[in-house]
Parts: sequence; structure tokens; C-alpha cells
Amino acid sequence: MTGVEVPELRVAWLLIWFLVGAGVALALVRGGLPWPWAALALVGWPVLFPLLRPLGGREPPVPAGPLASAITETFAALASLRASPLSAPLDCDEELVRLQASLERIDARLAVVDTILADGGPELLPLRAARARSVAECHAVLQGIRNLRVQLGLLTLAGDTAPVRTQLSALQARVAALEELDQNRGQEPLVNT
Amino acid sequence: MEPTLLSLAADVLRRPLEVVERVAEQPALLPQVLPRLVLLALVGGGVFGAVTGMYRGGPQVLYAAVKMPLLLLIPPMIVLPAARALVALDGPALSGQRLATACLVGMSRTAMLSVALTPPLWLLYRTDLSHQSALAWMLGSLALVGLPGLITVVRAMFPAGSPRGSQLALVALLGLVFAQTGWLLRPFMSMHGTGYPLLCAVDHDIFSGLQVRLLSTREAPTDWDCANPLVLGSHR
Repeated sequence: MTGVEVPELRVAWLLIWFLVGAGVALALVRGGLPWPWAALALVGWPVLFPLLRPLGGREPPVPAGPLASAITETFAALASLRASPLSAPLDCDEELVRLQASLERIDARLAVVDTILADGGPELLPLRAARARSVAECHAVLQGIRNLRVQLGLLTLAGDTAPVRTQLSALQARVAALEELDQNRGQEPLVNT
Repeated sequence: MEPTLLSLAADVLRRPLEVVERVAEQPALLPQVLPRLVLLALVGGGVFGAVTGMYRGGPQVLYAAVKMPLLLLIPPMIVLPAARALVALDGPALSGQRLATACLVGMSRTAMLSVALTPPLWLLYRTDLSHQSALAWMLGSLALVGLPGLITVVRAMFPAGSPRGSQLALVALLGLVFAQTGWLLRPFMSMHGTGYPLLCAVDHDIFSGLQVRLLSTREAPTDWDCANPLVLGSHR
């Protein structure tokens, strides 16, 4: 390398660095980052690369399945009951949020299954039966959540948290088993060919 | 809650590892945290660079203010892939998000700590200090503030109980790349009577270069001058 080529190489590297930085900054602005913050990518684009995925690749919303409204209504009713000032306080927000999220995931899978079943055909009978079992189980869990009101009433009157905890644990175990069952089914062919 | 620049700066100085963990647990914070960390590193490094550039004055203040943040940001970017491989040797691979956050928290911490050293350094540079002494003070200051940053990066990357060997390897690797990047970006302080180079051509490596310049007993002022310098896009 001669003495003349070295400076040209330095200028080229600087140009490439800023061009790539400009590209990353543009992508960040398009992804929703305010431009003054995105402009920092001109200098430090390699460390701002991780921002491209969460900004640009937003996860699509979970599709609403056949039980979406039932899930929302059941949990909303329970939340309004718990929000009452006369209701006994119980630290179970996290469990309820997890329970609702699990049910929504199962519901989203049911939505996918419904799309497949819409095509019809006798070969889909095993899938139809599996769907019916999952829906029945979800309904049973939702009924269990409605029944939580009874335990919450007991808690308000007698201050006994054990029945609520027991019922919640039973429901969580039931939903976990249902999710696991669905995942295992997902690894197997849905339709016997 | 969206972190402000000041609250993030305080957290990076007081609880750097908590910042890394918080971002790892809540990836939604990334768009707020990462750009702010880059800004903190740029501002902190820029102030420290400007003060070191004041030894010479003139355009050197601006050049050093531009170069010093690059010295903080470029080495971690180069070492990131190797760091990922080192971490994967002892456990599950880290995500790119965590690596970037760990590096930026460490470097922005170093940058802000370096700002704390600027008043005494500035006063020192107002005295009749030789070029070699000025350089030694700057390197000493950088080592002093760089160590907490390096420790932060390593502790954020390796979970508790990881083998010391991999951690030391990462510290050594980061230290080497820092030293060589500093050598390539030099001079932070050009000598009186020479030009104001923005970038120098590559000559020697950090070790042989320092051996020639710092350990030499004879006064060789032109030794510190850049070979084939780049001065704002034109060549001197």
C-alpha cells in the first residue's frame, strides 16, 4: 500500500460508515423513532442495530378467536368485582393476567384451526373433534373463573384466602395442561393423511 | 415510565447493571434507552476530548472532541461478535440487544466519569507541561475511568459464577482493541509547531509506537507527528 492510497482508503471508510449510518437512521425513523434520536445512528449504528427489529418488525396482533368476547367479559366482570372498595384485597393480579394471556393464546390457535376447518371435508374430522375438546375445556375454565366470585365473597366475609388460592391454582393447572396439549398436538400432523 | 436523559445518566452511574437487566426484561424500553446511551457517550467523550485538545488549542479542540467519543464507541462494536462467542462458551448465548445495551452502558459510564476528571486535567494543561507528560496524564485518566466501564461491560455480559478465564479474556480483548483504536485515532493532542491532523496513516502498532516514543530518552518531537495526515479531507 503506498502513502497516497492510505488517505483515500480512510476517506472511503468514513464515507461507508456514514452511509450505512444514514441507512440505519432512515430505517429507525420509518420505524417510529424520533429523528433526533435516530440521527445518532450516523455515529453509532452498530449498537443501534437491535432497534431495527423491535421497531420495524412489530409482532402482528393476536387474532381473535371464537372465545375472545367470552374471555374478555369474564375477566372484566371479575376485575370490576375486585375493584369494589368493599371487596377484600387479594394479591393475585399476576396470576389472573397470566391466566387470561394463556386463554387468549389458546383462543388464537382456535382461530387458526377454524380457518382450516372452513375448507370442510371428511379428513378434517379428527381436527374438528380436537377443537371441540379444547373449546369445551376453555368454557370449563371460564366457568371456573366466574365461580371465583363465590370464593371472593367468602374472602370478603370471612377473610379466608385459601379457597381463592386453591381455585386459582386448579384453573392455572388446567390451562397449562390445555396449552401443553395444544403444543404437543401442534408437533404432530393435525390431519391424518 | 420513559427514562429521561438525566435519570438514565444517574442510573448508569449508580446502578449500571440494573439498567441492563431492566432493558433485558422490558425490550420495549430499547428505543428509549439505546439512543440516549449513545448520546451520553458522545457528550461525555466529547467534553473529555475537547479538554485534552485544549493542550494544543485551535482546531485540535474540535478534532479531539470528535475523536474521543469514537474511541469509546468503536472498540466495543468491533469486539461484540467475539464477546458473544466468549459468553456462549460458558452458557446460553446472549441476545444482540443485551450485548449492545451492556456495551453502551459501560461506555456511557466511562464517558460520564471522564467528564468528572476534566477540571483537574484542564488545570494541568494550563501549566507548562511537556507533551509526553500531557499524554501520560491523559492515558492515565482514560485508564482510570475506563476500568469501571470495562468491569460493567464484563459483569453485564457474564452471569454470576461464570469462569474467570472468559471474563479476563474479554477484558484483555477490549483493552487491546481500545489501545490500538486510540493509536489509530491519535493524536488527541498534536504537538506545538506541527499541523492539526484529523486522521493519521497507520504506522506501527500501539506497543512498538509507544516504545519508540515514550521510552525513548532522546527528544524527538517529530516522532509524534502523523505520517501522511488527513486534514479535513485534504492532505498536508
